[in-house]
Amino acid sequence: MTRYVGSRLLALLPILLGVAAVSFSLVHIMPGDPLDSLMDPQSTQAERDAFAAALGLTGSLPEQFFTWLGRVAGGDLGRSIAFRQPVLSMVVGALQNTLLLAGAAAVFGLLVGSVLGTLAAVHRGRALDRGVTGLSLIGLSIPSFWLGMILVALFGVTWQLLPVSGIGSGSGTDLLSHLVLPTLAVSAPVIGLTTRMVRTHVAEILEGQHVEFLRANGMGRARLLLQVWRNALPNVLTIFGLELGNLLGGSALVEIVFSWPGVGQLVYQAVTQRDIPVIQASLLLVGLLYVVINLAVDVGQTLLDPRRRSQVVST
Amino acid sequence: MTLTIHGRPPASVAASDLLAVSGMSVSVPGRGRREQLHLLEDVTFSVGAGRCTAVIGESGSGKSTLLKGLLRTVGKGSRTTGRVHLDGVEVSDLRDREFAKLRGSSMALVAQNALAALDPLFPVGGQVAYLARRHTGGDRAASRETAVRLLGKVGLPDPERTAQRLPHELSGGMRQRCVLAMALACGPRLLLADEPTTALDVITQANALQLLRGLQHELGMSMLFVTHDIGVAASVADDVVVLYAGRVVEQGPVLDVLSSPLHPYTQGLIDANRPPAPGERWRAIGGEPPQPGQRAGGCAFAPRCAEASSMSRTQRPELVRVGSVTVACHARTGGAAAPLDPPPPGAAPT
Repeated sequence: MTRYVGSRLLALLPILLGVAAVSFSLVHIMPGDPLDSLMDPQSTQAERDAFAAALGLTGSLPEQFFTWLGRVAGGDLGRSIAFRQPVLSMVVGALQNTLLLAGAAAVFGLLVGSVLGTLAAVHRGRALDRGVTGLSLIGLSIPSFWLGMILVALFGVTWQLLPVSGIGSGSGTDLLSHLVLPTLAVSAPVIGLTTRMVRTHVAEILEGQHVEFLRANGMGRARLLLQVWRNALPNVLTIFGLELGNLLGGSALVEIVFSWPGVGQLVYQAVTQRDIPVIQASLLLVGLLYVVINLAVDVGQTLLDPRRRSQVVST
Repeated sequence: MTLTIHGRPPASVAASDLLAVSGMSVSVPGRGRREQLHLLEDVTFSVGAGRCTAVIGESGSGKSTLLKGLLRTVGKGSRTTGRVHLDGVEVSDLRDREFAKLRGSSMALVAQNALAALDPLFPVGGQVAYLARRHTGGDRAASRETAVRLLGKVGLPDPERTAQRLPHELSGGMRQRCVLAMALACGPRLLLADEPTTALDVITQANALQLLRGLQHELGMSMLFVTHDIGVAASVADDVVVLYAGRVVEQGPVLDVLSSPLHPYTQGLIDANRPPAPGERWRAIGGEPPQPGQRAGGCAFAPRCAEASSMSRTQRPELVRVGSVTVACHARTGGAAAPLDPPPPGAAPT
């Protein structure tokens, strides 16, 4: 198992290199010279050259890339142009907030979606199933940012029940109360997708010969459902990983609606201000996190399914 | 002498029968609104105590539905009617909750596809042990011992170690034996076997059949054995029931039915199972069995039958006793319309 994880980690290296190359070059694909928007139009050519050198914008593009990569490998992601502070701490702080929101939404969405999906699967073909499936379609199609604005209007403005902006003091119940509305907004599509996937998987297992055989030989209902769930678990884990990964970048609009100081908000500001180091570092770290989550899901699946486990051990 | 019985014989049950089914019909919802597809119609047969009855027929004849009907696992919206006596007790009137207690302990299923029936995520020993604990109580250690003992009983080598293994690590024959052990874990009086050897190669199949037969005698169980393979039925069963399009067309002691079949369909099945002489072709029965819902009046086999008369197409033949067997065929019972007079007193039950 350790060897398996090790080899999977090793296989990540080329992917990470790709992530780095994309994060680096995206900024350079953007039209316009970054210097034009960053510098005073009256500045002299000497000033411009000095600034370009400070940003690592001299030399050919590959040269720039490898210089940048060298610095990044040493843990130096540069300084923000707009905020004049180290990029790393900024991005890591924002990423923590985003992970909190994405994690809360993924867990909440997964729990609700699993319960609804299982209910629908058990009552498949009946009114409850049709109702739940219809609701899940609505959840899937609602734009999160729109739902967010509705929640702000209702809970924040009309009823004034919950805070709608920022993260408050950033800890304890204050943080939790700030977390509720954005989590609801972000998790609607997660609930929708999870419900449908869980319904499909559980229904498939319920109709399989395994369940039929156990039922015919006297297995009780509750225990049977437990076993069905255990069999659906690897698939549920996959959904969870996919959703969590998607939410890292996908909740950007909701972050803006709720002024959530996450990485989506940060990148949005950085792009408008042409804060190149921040954009690059954010893309790089989000990409890195995405890859790591995927790896964790793969390893988790292997742990949950003995068939895959024995394959891993034998190779 | 030709004795006749009606399609729905009196509900009296011979004392020696462990399972007696009379007039069982199963229907499931069709595509249309309120449409019901009749999968089984008026099926009557019995399984003697300690004996094995084979149910044979083509795919779609209702063999598996029969087992599901007996276990009440046909599915949502289905309707099952008829009387079922199990071990002298009428079980057809039991509420679902009461009936569920019979599953496993009074009758247990041996599934057709062992790989699909076993849980891929857990060692086989634990799966046997769980069912054993559920039906006989006792603690984990005791049920674990029971599981190992059962795995040994079904002929698995080194049961201690096999109990620790996962289904995909075992061969097809070994998996089938695990499924059998799970069915036995409940200590059933009646074993319902759904083509348990179809997925196995010929040698493994012969071993499995021998094992089944041996265990049946040793444990004093009765067995209802569903198969499409006449050879398997001949080697394992005492009695045989031939199903066609959801109805019984012929039944009786296995030797009598298979050595001198009366119904043209039984004859066709036997011919189709017999390897052809060199240079000859396999003798398949032409045509297809009718789909449920498209079964016309008269004999369901008539469209495929060389001996069908005009009466076969319009009038459904009733089961008629001819010697030791009963058969539903106008051509065999003198072409007379199904007699309407009640059976003479003292007529032997089917």
